[in-house]
Amino acid sequence: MFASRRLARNRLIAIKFLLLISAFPISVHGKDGNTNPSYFGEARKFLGALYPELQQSGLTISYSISSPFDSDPMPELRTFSVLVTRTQSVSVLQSSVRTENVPAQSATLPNVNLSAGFSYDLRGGIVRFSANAPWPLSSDKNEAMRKLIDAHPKWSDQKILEQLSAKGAKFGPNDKTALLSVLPLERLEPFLGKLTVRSAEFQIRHKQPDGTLALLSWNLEIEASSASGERSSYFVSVEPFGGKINLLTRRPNR
Amino acid sequence: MDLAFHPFRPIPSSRRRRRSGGAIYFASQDTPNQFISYCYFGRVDQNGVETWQYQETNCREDYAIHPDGTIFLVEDVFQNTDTAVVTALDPATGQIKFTVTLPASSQTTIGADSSILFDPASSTYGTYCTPGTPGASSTSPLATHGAISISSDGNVYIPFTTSTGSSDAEPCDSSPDPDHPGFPHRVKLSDGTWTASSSLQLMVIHSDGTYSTQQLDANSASGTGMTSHGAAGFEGLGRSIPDGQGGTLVTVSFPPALYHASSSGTSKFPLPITPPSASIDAFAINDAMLLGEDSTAYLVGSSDPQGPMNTLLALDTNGGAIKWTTSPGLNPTPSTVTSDGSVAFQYYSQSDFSQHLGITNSSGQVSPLFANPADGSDVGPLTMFSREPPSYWALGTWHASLSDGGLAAVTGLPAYTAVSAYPENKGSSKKRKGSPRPQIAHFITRNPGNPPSSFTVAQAVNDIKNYLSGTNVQNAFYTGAQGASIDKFLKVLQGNTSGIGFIGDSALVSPGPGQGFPFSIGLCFYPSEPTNPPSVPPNCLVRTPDDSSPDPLMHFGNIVAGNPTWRTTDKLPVNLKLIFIGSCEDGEVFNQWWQISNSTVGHVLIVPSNPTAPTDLVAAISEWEDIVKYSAGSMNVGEAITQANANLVSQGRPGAWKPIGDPHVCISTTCKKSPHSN
Repeated sequence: MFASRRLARNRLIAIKFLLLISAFPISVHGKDGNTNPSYFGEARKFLGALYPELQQSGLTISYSISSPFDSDPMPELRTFSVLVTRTQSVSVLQSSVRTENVPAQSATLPNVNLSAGFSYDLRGGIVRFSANAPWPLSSDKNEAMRKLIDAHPKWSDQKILEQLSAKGAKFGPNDKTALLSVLPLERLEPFLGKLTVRSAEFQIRHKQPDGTLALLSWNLEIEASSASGERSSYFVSVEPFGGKINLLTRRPNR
Repeated sequence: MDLAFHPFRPIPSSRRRRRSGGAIYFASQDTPNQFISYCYFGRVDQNGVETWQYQETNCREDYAIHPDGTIFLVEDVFQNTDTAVVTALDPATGQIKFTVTLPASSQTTIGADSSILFDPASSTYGTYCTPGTPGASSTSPLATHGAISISSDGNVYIPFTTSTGSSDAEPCDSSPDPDHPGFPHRVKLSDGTWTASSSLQLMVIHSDGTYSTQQLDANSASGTGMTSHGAAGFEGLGRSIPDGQGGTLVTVSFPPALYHASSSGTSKFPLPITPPSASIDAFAINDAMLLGEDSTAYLVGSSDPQGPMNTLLALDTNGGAIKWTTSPGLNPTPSTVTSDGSVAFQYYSQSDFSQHLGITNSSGQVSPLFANPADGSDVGPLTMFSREPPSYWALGTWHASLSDGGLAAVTGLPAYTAVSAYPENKGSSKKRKGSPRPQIAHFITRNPGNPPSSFTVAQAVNDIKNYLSGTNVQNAFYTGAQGASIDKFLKVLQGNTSGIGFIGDSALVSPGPGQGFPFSIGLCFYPSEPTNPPSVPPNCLVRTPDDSSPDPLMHFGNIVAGNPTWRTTDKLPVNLKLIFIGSCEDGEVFNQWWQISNSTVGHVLIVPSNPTAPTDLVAAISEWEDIVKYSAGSMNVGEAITQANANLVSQGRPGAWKPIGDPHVCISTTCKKSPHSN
């Protein structure tokens, strides 16, 4: 009867639906009946461009969107999350967000459990993208490393970097050139436009009045130019273990 | 080496140093350094180990602290040279990052077209007319300057004057003097011409060491003859303080005036009082001018140019109109301008030979800062000698000196420091001679994504930090792993932070089927970044239930009793101007907890517009980022909310937020405040 927000979520009067598809894009119809850009399909392609490791058989992408039941009209389907998993079977349209995907028991293929969030604008441009997964994003390693650093506030930056390297991070502050060489910028250009890296800075910790907060992230400012000459600026965060982009946010034009 | 820490000259530790637990200080030593000075700046780390010393040339350097921690000093006779230099010190190492030499105070060329010659016949020297002789040039390289300050965008301001003078013997008679064979005629007192000019200028030094100068005023004079020359000049420069709009204000003792410099030009406002000079010992002196909201400057000075300081004056820096003057006693020293246009100050009363604490209202009427509620009499504290005026902390509490030399926290009426670029003595509560910077606390108590792993706390922190990097906001993040606890939340609410944002879970009450929507009674915190579902029950701070209330929504006592990790509180302490809530189902029960209504002035609570809908926490992050960014610029909070809501729509994010309380609240010194707000 009484619960914290998370526990109450299951009882929210809301419609939640999950689409399970395997390998084909779909078109989404908005409230006015016109065909919106195929946001779901674009998202799947975008993930494929970012993480080519996902281009393999046996993976499932599922889409989730929620809104209040009494929304009228229905919200446009431009903000949603996706889950990429390795499942044994792809089948049905389910009615609950609580899916129980069964990971395959494979000795050679890595387990996949990638969560991502997308926001698009009305013209189909990506406004915000975020993703986390043990593979291929090393999110679990990065999170463990951040907790370790926060537990040792007296560690010097040098000590942190030594620990980071010992844990397998390939792209520390001194590996900027190597990092930039592995970024999939060309593959992203069909989605964002011609890309130019304006700055790249490795963030170790955020210093604040009563301590520090581990960040461990390459932060990039990337400028995108469309064919029509329109320019956009993106904030891009890259994890240091494999050099994978895990956050992309379009910034307002300055 | 023995260290003597100067009791009256504390240097605030820079932001960078405070974060790492160290402190920067001014100290004297018992043997002189290479510049024959007994003073230096030093830094100790969190273990008390002195990590660097910067040896000073003398013991009177003015200082200001840059937003990035860089220490700016103004050093006269820099390293025993005849120059005045602005030095930028790296706060981590104490090493000089760069120096800027202030321009020479005067350049003169005298005696052109004349020569001083020795006449052996009379054994005397004389000045003779010799056209074509260049004259003698001299320069006084030591600058004449005022005191420095730093704007919130990191520009350093310092006023200075320059003067030039020349004299020329022509026209004079250069023909041979029959009375002195072999010599031309002497230069007569009526011969020749002279010119003199003075200028008042402002130097603006940027973070990279580049600088520019802007002339604020000038005067000149010229005449004939060799007996009199000179221009009025500018004497007694004060501290230039930022105006919050990219300009600066500076006072001059003679001719008494206030200058308001901006990118569009300079305004000069003659003053009926003589403001003091800041150049005697700029390190230790208190400020003679503060800036309030609505661009009102508060100055002290003397009504008689030859007399003591005795007057406090309020002046509109846009048009120069004097709002009021008052003469409460001797040596009024302003402490703090409050948001309602009051000014707290210290003054000396000749009636009891004591320092008193007073406060003016917005009309200049003076009353005791701490008054007996029964009769309004002054309850002190009185001191015989106190160089520092009281400083305001928060919630009506002031720090004031006591007669025995001790320091007291004294509680008076609640007040709010004015949102301006220089509202307090020495700039801000940090005493860094700079504009205050908005401090924002971000409480992110769970992964905002849905599912949570699609957008984590770490990504939210990184995104917010980057998004606000172009502003002058000071960010403090509190996450599950970094102390986002109930105690920390309550502590921040009572502190000096400008605003707080909470993004996380609500503590929900569900009335039951058919009896209404779930509604929030509080906010939840996790001991670590929560898993989904939570591995441990959250610690929720909730409103105290009232099962006897006529309002049935308050009947949730049994629910609270069934959640041992929940903590109740009747009221939430609201000292902050801006409170943002990004959680679900925040309705009347939750909103009234904050005791902020639409008639509240000076505070604003921002909650989701729809109290019955779930809240997209990623949308809450976007909304909060935009509200802080726009509020850190020129918008008041209400305008920032409107713009942030519009941005959410364009992003396809669900949800919108609304203000409760005073939407005209400003957190930035560059905000255009509505006249409807205090």
